[in-house]
Amino acid sequence: MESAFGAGTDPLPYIIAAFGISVLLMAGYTFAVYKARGKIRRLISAMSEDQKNLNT
Amino acid sequence: MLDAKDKKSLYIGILLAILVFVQWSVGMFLAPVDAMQGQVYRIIFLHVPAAFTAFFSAFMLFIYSILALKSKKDSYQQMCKATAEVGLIFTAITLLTGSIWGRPTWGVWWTWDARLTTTLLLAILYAGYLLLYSSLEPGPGRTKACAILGILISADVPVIYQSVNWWRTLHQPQSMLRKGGATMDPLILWTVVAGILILILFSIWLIVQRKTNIALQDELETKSFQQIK
Repeated sequence: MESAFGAGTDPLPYIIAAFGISVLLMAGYTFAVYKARGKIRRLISAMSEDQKNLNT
Repeated sequence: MLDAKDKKSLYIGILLAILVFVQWSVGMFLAPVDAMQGQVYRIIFLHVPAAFTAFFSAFMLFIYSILALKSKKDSYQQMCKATAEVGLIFTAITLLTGSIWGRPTWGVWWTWDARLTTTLLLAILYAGYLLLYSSLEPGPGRTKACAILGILISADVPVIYQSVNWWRTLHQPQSMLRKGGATMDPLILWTVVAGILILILFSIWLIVQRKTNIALQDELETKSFQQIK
């Protein structure tokens, strides 16, 4: 019995939209964190390399 | 350029993400249909765990704000910032999935209902925390101001939770933690509970990852200052 709330509306677009937004936000943030991690590590190692060259 | 430790923690994250998908799949395909709302109620498997995770982030922010006030260690402040960011992400998911769920069930995308408004306030407070953190110079002043705001943010959580009891709202009253036990089908209930636990674990992992980035950024800044000198 499907009555009162949501009667006559196709639930699929709403479920897909909710699922899509959740995945997008969580995966997007995680990806951004890991992409930044790689960049920071590269910069730190480049800086250490520069420092070594300056010392020698 | 990720090191071995980064890769190891990435595998843990992938494992947690798989668990999140398994919980969502159980909710989407195995849980029974709701007698009143039909299929659209399945948004509960995204919405409720995200809401509890947003609350958990506020609790973590409270703990780390007190620690930051007491010990002034950089790592506590870094943890606070990471927690506020992750808290904002999960509050946004809560508000967006709630809005999408509200349209077919209430007929509106948004209403100034007490539960919705106090949750929006939580998102604004998290965003405010991040603005405050980035606008102040590092030092004891920033630590103190951010810690006080962090403690204040956590005060919104009991208000959100009790809002459906304190005010007449469109949002349904508590259906899990209530007197007389939960009103849901056991499979729905336990899938939601599992979802809350898994998403909280995922958020802890995410907070630790973001905190590592903030610590590395601080290290980078210190190194560049040393090179200039």
